[in-house]
Amino acid sequence: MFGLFSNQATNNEATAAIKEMEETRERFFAFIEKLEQKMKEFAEASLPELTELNNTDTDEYKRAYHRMKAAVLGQLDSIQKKALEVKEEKITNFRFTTNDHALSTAYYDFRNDCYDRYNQLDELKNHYRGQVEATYSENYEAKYQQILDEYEAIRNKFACVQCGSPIVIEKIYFTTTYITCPACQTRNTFEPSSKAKTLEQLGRSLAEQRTAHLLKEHDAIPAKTQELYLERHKIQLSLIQEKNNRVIREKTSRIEELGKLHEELERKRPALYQTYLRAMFDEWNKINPALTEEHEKFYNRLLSDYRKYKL
Amino acid sequence: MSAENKPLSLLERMKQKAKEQKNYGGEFTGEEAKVNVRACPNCGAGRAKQDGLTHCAYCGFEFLSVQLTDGINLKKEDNSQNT
Amino acid sequence: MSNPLLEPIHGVSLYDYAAVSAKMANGVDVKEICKKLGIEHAVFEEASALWVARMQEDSSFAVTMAFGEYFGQAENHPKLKDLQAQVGDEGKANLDKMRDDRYFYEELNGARQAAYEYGYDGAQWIQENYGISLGDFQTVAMKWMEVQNQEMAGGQTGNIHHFIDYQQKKQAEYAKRFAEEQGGNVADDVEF
Repeated sequence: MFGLFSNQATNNEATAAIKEMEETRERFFAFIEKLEQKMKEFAEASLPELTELNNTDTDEYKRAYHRMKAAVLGQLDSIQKKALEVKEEKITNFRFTTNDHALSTAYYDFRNDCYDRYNQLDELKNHYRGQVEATYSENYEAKYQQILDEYEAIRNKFACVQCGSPIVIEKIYFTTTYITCPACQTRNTFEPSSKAKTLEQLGRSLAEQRTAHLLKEHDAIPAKTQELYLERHKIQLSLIQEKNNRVIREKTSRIEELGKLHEELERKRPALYQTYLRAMFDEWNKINPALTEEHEKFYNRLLSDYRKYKL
Repeated sequence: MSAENKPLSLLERMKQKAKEQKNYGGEFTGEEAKVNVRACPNCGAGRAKQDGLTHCAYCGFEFLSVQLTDGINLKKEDNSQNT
Repeated sequence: MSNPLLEPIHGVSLYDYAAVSAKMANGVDVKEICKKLGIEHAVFEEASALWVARMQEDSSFAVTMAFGEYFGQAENHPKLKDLQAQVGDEGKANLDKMRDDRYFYEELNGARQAAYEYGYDGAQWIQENYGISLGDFQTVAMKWMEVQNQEMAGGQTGNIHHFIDYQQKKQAEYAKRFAEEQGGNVADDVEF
């Protein structure tokens, strides 16, 4: 192939450049493979450690766990950064002097191969990032149960500071409020516990957790429509060569059928979102009814955003 | 690879570092629910339901220097009338 | 000013709420804050919860954006400006430097990011090493964000890039330092 070059000197130069590309590719592939190996070993070893720390961190915000998780992700990033630097230096900035078409083509092949290999590492990192993130879990049901138990324990425990008559805490308050003594009419200031004060945010997280399956159903639609599209596309392509009228009829009707299924899924999608959102807000309202009116405004906003931006 | 650079030992050190650090803002201390009464610092009177929350019904002392709007449990009616 | 979502709640304005948030992030006691505003906990807690709800309701993000602006102006709040958390002399000097010197701000920003990547709580790290609290840090960050927004509007992208590059350079420097402290990164022995 290199006989194509105009003179011997260029030819030699091109041969040398091609050889260097091949060597660089080989070294780059080996380098990425070693990095992938490191990433796998490190990430796999870190997952059970993170899960354990998530379960045992007694801090209210699991801060030790979050620090450790950030550090693990930081190491995954450091591996990728290392690959990126070498990619820039050895592949993107690969220097060759001959300005020849055949050599340029060889370079682009070489570059694409190496970029693809780098992208595989990138995908592996994203895969492990997801796994690392998935080590986080919070038992919102248990936290909510604690608030309910605590409420049962304190609802009849208080007396008016002014006259000593019993005052009943009639519902779960999540903000400090004034409770009037039924005997002397004095306004007592009731301050809920730290736990009870988290009710509003906790309520949202718990409601989302309880209705996650509905959101998942909605989120699964694009993958399903993609599948239908691919099947339809494949049949369409096969029709180009098809001569048999009976087969053409069958395939055409299958294409129509797939098109209808696709449309139906698209039509169902907004309804599924609304079903999820309604269920989520119903749960939230049940947990913290005091802000029902505000939740409803938020619900309307999310629903109109969904319609407006075709989310 | 030197012994202390093996992933597990690096992980061990990372875990130790994560656990031993001081938490920003200190430890979280949960508070129990409680009940209090705020009496007027001028005349010692308590606040009764019908007198509103913002001013002392007896001497006019200002408990709250804001005008209450309709909130969660606090409502406009909780503004004292003697302002 | 006709946006009803920006009307005060129980007389607590959005500026009050944003300044309170900044002060609390600085560790100022909420009791002191309430006293200065002339309100009680009950008023404050309802107003807080309802301001959050207003932000959730608002699809134009006007409330959230105004909150950010006010947060950056907490130091000028007429009733709350005198409330300061205890800051040492060194912390005060660093804070002033961070306000005046954009390079220093970007350096600390980079350092903070690198700290998180190496398993430190960035906020705690800045507190321990520079004596600057999270609330003060965020207040100054908000101020520089405004400067950057103005540059963006004025087409001065060159300046923005200059400082982003500087921040990344500093972040890399600190990352190197933190990596050395932990005995290296996991793939240090892999060479091309």
